[in-house]
Amino acid sequence: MALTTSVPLLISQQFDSEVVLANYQNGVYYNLEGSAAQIWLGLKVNRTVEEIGSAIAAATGGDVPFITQQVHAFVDGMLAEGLIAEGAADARDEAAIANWAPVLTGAFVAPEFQRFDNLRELLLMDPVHDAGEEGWPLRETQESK
Amino acid sequence: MRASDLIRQEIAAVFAKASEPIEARARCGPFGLRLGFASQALAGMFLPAYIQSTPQAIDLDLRFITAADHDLSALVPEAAEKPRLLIEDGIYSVWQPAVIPVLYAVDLTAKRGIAWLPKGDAPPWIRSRPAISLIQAMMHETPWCAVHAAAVGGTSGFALLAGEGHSGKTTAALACAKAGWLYAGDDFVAVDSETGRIEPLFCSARLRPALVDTFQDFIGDTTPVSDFNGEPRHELSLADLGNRIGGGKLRATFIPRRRGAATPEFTPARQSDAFRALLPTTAYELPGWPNEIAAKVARIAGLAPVFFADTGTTPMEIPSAFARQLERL
Repeated sequence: MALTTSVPLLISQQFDSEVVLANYQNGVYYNLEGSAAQIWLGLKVNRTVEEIGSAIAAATGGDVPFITQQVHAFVDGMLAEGLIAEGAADARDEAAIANWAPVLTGAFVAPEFQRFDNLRELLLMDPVHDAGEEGWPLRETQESK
Repeated sequence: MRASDLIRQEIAAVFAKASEPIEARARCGPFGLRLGFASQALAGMFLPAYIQSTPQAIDLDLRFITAADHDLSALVPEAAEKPRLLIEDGIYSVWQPAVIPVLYAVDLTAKRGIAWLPKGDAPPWIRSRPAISLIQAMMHETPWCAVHAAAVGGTSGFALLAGEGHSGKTTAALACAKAGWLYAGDDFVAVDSETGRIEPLFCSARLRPALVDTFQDFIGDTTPVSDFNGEPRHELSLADLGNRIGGGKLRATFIPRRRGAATPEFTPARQSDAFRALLPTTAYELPGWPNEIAAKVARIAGLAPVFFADTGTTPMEIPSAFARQLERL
């Protein structure tokens, strides 16, 4: 299954070993740290779940099958939250793939994301945010000019 | 005809009239504006929020008009009850239907913009930051970004106050302004994401009625209370601050919050905390180029140390606490 981190209306920013994801569609923000951030960053350079599991196991001295299973579960969770999507992965940047390695210290800690729902209320209040990318449909009389 | 062509044509038609009855010049972030109002009523509605001055260059010619002045109903998009955003061929345009609809459009090449009020009135929160989405559009492909934050400056530099509504931004900013600090805004300010330069966009403030007593002697006469979705605010003009409406270099980002401290307390925070505090309202209220804006906000979040600031229970203790914290950096 090909996965992509390029999701419409999802903004991502990396701060050192932390990743913040902002879903502009529903106003939910997510914080990924530790192994969670490393999994997302691995997917971003088109590493497979198995490759990520093996790399994290190597970095933490953990059990490859167990960690790969944890990565699988976390990826399923991110798919459910819309933080990644199935589909054509971005073009593989071989240099980025070769250079990628999880930045983790100590024993493996199961990945999880922090979810911030407190911004959803803002979406209900604000009159502009829905302005979408579907353009500016002119009424028929104007289109015919 | 493409929507951008039609909008460009209608903007040109508005500017075919050599001038408007009320004209003024103002600075707004890094830009110089020439403002035209089709009536005294429109000038009274929006001009108090602007920092009136004589900028060296005019970066945007902006006119405020109503349906009685120009019939721009042809620009109202299909399904007019839905908000719309158009970025096409040098045209940026936002249709805000809401209860009181507003159409903003700018021809970025001609440097001409319009704020069209079909009902002759504007939502109260727009009066404190008129046409700000057009200003953000002008910042496209520059390092500048309008961000949802307050900013005040003392002798050690500027503090950017980032956070959601009710976090205490306005209280802290007005307390500092009352104590003699430079004031760059309580709602949106302009920040250069490369240099950390902060500039005011407007000289307005949005004060909760509960705080009027605290600042009565500073703000003078209050305006009537506006109420949007249960959020009552006095839309104030602080134009009387004169040259204390100003900008400077970012020294720290404070994220105000109320956690029960009696006196102001600071706790180190992360760059990502500043990013989360700055981005949501910035992005939602200023549509367009979300990735570019997020990248700028991320850079701004990393320009200076970040602290959570529990602002305490006595607003007038905030300025000295902020000053001590800035001096320590």
